[in-house]
Amino acid sequence: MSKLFLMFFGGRKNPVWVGYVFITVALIILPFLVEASMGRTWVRILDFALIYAMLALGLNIVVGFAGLLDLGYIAFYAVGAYTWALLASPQFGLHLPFWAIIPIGFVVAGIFGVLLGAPTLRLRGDYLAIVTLGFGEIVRIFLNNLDHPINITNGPVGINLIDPIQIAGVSLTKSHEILGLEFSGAHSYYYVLLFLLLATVFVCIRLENSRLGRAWVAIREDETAAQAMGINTRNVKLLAFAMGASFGGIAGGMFASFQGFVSPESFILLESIMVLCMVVLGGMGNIWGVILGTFLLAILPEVLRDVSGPIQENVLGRVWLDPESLRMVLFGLALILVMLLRPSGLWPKR
Amino acid sequence: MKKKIIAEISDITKTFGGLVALSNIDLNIKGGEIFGLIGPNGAGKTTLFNILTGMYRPTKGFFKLEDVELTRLPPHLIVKAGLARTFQNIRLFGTMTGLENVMVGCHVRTNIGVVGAILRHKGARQEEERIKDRARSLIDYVGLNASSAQAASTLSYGDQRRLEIARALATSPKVIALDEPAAGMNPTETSQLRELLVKIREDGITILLIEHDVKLVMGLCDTVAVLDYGIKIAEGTPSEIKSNPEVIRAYLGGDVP
Amino acid sequence: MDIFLQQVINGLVLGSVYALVALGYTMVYGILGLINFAHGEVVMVGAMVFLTAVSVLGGGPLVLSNSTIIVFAVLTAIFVCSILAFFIERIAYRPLRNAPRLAPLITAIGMSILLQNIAMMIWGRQYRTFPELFQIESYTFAGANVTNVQLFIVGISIAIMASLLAVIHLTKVGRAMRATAESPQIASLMGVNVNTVISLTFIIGAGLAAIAGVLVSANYSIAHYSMGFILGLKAFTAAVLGGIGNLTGAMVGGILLGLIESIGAGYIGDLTGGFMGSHYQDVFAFLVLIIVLVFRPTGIMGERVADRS
Repeated sequence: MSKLFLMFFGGRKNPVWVGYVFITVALIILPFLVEASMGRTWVRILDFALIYAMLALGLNIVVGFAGLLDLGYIAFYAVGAYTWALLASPQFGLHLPFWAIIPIGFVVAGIFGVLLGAPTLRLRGDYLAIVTLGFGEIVRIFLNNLDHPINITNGPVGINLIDPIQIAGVSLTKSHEILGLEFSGAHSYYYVLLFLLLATVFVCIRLENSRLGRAWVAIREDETAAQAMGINTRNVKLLAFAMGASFGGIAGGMFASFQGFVSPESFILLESIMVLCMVVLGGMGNIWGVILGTFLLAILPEVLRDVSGPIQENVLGRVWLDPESLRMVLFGLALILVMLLRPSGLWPKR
Repeated sequence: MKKKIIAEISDITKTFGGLVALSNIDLNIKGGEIFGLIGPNGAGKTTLFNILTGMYRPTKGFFKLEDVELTRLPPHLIVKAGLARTFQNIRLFGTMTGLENVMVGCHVRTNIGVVGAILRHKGARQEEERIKDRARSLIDYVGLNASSAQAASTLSYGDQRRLEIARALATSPKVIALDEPAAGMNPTETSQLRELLVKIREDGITILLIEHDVKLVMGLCDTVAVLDYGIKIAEGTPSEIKSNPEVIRAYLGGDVP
Repeated sequence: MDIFLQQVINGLVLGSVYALVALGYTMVYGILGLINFAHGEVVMVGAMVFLTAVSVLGGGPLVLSNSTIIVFAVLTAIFVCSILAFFIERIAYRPLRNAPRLAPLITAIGMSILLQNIAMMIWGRQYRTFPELFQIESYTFAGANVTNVQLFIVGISIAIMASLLAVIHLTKVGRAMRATAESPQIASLMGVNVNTVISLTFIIGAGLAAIAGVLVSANYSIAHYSMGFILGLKAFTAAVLGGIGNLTGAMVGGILLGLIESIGAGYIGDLTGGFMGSHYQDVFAFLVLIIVLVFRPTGIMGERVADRS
């Protein structure tokens, strides 16, 4: 990690801790800066970017480290979100506390990861991609239809009134005033999510530089050779699926509690593809690249949404093109251009 | 001194569809020797390697290492039991450095899991240190110090071959199976390889060697077996093999009587 | 009414469209090893251009017979789609031929998003109805209904697939394509212009896609800017099911997927004791795909390639 800071602060003159302090302070005051300059909506967008970053780091374990192309990754996000929604909402009348749900979501999503990973172990490359895609769709279709004969997921309507995180009886979605500063729900969640993201980054770095991380990369580079080096490729691949799924599960839980509402619509194939784009665009296998890719893809389209209308009005006199579709056109163009100019991603490993 | 048999290959037969790739191969490899396996292209040498290392399943027959039957086990358990291999068409982990490649080889003799990797407690740190030390010493052993920090795919051909050997040695094998380690090497590299193989034998590791360089095999091996069209046509000391008429026929052509 | 036969008929109709689209995926995959995610959008563009051409020709100063309008509109759709596919390959895929494997996948996704939204800008968000160019007639056959449109779809698909196979296996161009699929490097050493072959593959695939687009919108009587994505996905699934890279496999996979989907949808309620309804149609299709691949990882017609060490 210190390398990163050295890059920013030029090493020699400034001791590394100056960099740490600077970044910590920046991260702490960021939501207030964002709110002051761009409004509260942007703090929420920032929060969603943090959730996506967790999700992308989870997928990076599967795709980036182990080289297993997973196009149904959003299913684990969905599992995490619905686990939270079912355990902390009026749907079943359960209201478990967050410190109980997070580990449950972690484990449930991990189990799903193993269950969905197990049948695919013999598949390579694009066959794996299409099967995982199928699994992702299956999960979504079940969520969409499990409202009868027994109502579990509430079908396409989704589950509402999901409990937010409560610490000592205080709900994080409410606004609080601390030291004269107003902490909205978006602010409070920002810190929770930031903490979880940093924890995820920490775990990813540790895993990457371990015996298991090396085994994953070995499988990615040459599965046969990895076997010949005594790696139990079946178990190590399942572990990658499970770890990736678990992070997705936590991110999903956070999504459910932050939004207070989940429905199958949030877990469509396009979302899986979006997360994959974040990983690949940023630089597959490189944790910092993945985070960069996530923030670009989570924030850029929002910026385009905000600016494309006014710019057209100022330059062309009226809004010629619907800002929503223009945003998607530019998004598609950006994906193509970035890949053409930097095929290994914006910030590749090595 | 009579050496003990370490690896027993008995009656191994492999058919692909109707094609018989290997038929009834018996080989006994003695502990601490260099056992050469030669034969013309397509004789079934690599197929035999793939069976021994668990990549293929034999149609018939068995293979024991130190009296433990390994036939039909998955590759990783065979490595764990003490048989490591290299590949004819080098299969390194391209983007990893030389050192990391060798560290992967230590995988099978180490056991820190997810929790250890994340918490990095004392045991995990010590194991990681051990892995690094062992990998460094093996890099040193095969003489790759200068380039161990480079991505494996950028190494020269000869260095890649030696790195593969170091990686296989990292699994702490009893027997190491080398599939044409001298292929594509220049004379200097070949003579370095010869020294390396002698050193490995001196350190008590048995070597099973497939090689096309007949000179290298004859000068190095204690025992040589010859395969032709999936059949073992001869086995013996290099001098016996050199004068075996069947072998001469197989290599120079002509009808087998 | 015979439900089973009815579902078989519906499945065959659906399946022949899948097969046409699947061919485009499988040809590109066979040569480039790339999932051309934008292929589904080419199908959509085909349908949209056809409808636009019909309304232009029909509303123009010339009085044309309906069959003339159809022929010209289909040709226009094929022409536009071919040009589109040619440029997609040139712009988004060719520069990345030696790039990391996932890079062209991302540009393909980008292309798909781009085309879908441009199409939305051009043709709007609303569903467009298929014009009444011919009288729809319905026949009863052993207790099941068949329309002339359905018969036409199946007939055209079979004819096109047969001619594609003939082109691939009997002509010089086809031989060049097969050689390139086998190994682009060696094909180029043998004097095959690989770039031309690849462009041609995209163009042929796009032609098939355009026809499929017309057929599918005729079948459902509507077209929509988002129709291509799911259709493309299903077709790709069909190609994988059959064994990707294999032309016959794509056809078999397409027909099979169509049959599975419609028979599955018809019977899934009975099979699960009413627990699952026809909403689970897609689950059924994907489950079959997963089961087939688990037991035969290279698809139904795919060759078993021994992993040589």
